[in-house]
Amino acid sequence: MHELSLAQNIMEIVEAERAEHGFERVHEIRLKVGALSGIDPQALELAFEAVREDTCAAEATIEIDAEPRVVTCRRCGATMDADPGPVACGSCGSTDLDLQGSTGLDIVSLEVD
Amino acid sequence: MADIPVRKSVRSRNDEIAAENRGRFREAGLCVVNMLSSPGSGKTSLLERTAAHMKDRLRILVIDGDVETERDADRLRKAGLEAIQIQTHGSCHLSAAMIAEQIATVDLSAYDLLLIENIGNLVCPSNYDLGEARRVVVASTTEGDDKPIKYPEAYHTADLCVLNKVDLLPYLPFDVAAFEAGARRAKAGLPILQTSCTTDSGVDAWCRWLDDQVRAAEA
Ligand SMILES: Nc1nc2c(ncn2[C@@H]2O[C@H](COP(=O)(O)OP(=O)(O)O)[C@@H](O)[C@H]2O)c(=O)[nH]1
Ligand SMILES: [Mg+2]
Ligand SMILES: [Zn+2]
Repeated sequence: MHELSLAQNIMEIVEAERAEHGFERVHEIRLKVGALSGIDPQALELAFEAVREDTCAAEATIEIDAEPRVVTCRRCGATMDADPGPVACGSCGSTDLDLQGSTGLDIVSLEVD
Repeated sequence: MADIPVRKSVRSRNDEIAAENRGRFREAGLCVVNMLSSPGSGKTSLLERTAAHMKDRLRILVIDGDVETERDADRLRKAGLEAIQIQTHGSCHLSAAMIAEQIATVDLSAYDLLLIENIGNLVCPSNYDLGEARRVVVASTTEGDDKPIKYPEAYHTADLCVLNKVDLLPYLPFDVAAFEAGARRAKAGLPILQTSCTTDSGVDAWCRWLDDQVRAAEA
């Protein structure tokens, strides 16, 4: 799937940061993954293992801060876990629900030396 | 050891190219609609119906994404549309760069409407901005009414949902109200049109929606 191209995008950004800051090695890449980003964190980690070889991030790990998938009720405001996906509000029974979350996939920071 | 703050979107390169595409579309007054769906929900069929309704009064260009083959573009040429096929050779979504490459040599001002048929996949394409003005998710009754719950990403980013193959509703255990609640769970107030490409029912409403978007792009 497209986790491989995302892993390549991550590596491109890491290389651009290296050109700017001039570090030797990356130890950790911290990512923020939005609840609606369509990313499978495990697939992304695997894909990254394939692209990090022979780079400044060859030993880098990926640390993922995954946003929880939450649904709120538009009628009573109750909040519930979106997975597997309630069709009605647990408190008031309304089917007028709202899935919250961001579509973003961001590199937050790098731990380097 | 040092900590370097980055705060950059992993998709920033795609977003930059999408912004350039959007600039070109805007300059040409071209309305661009990106169509997302699972495989087989009826995107190409809906485009064939659209051709029958609109090709005599609107100048329509289609960019058709497929993993392999030129089949869909061929179908659309037979229906009387100009169509460009993109074969992604494995990639599960169209990217802004793929669109930029195709439109590089096209005189965009020669068209009123560019319809992009994305790769059949409800997850990945929803995260790739192509520079479109509007995004449509095409669902079909044969997929089951729980798809918006299972794959909310496409619905969340859509401006319109088309529920196709409604001619089959009498034969399927498909709960339209549950489907609509699921779609609007992902996106508040999402407009939903029901269509059938076999009976042509609802296609006129879809074409009116397209007309409205074309007018908005010209303004
Ligand atoms: N019954 C019925 N079948 C349809 C309808 N629209 C498309 N199909 C059929 O669904 C299949 C997939 O359609 P296609 O347009 O190729 O889907 P795409 O993969 O989304 O482009 C084809 O066999 C179509 O004939 C519809 O409204 N009703
Ligand atoms: Mg098709
Ligand atoms: Zn409630």
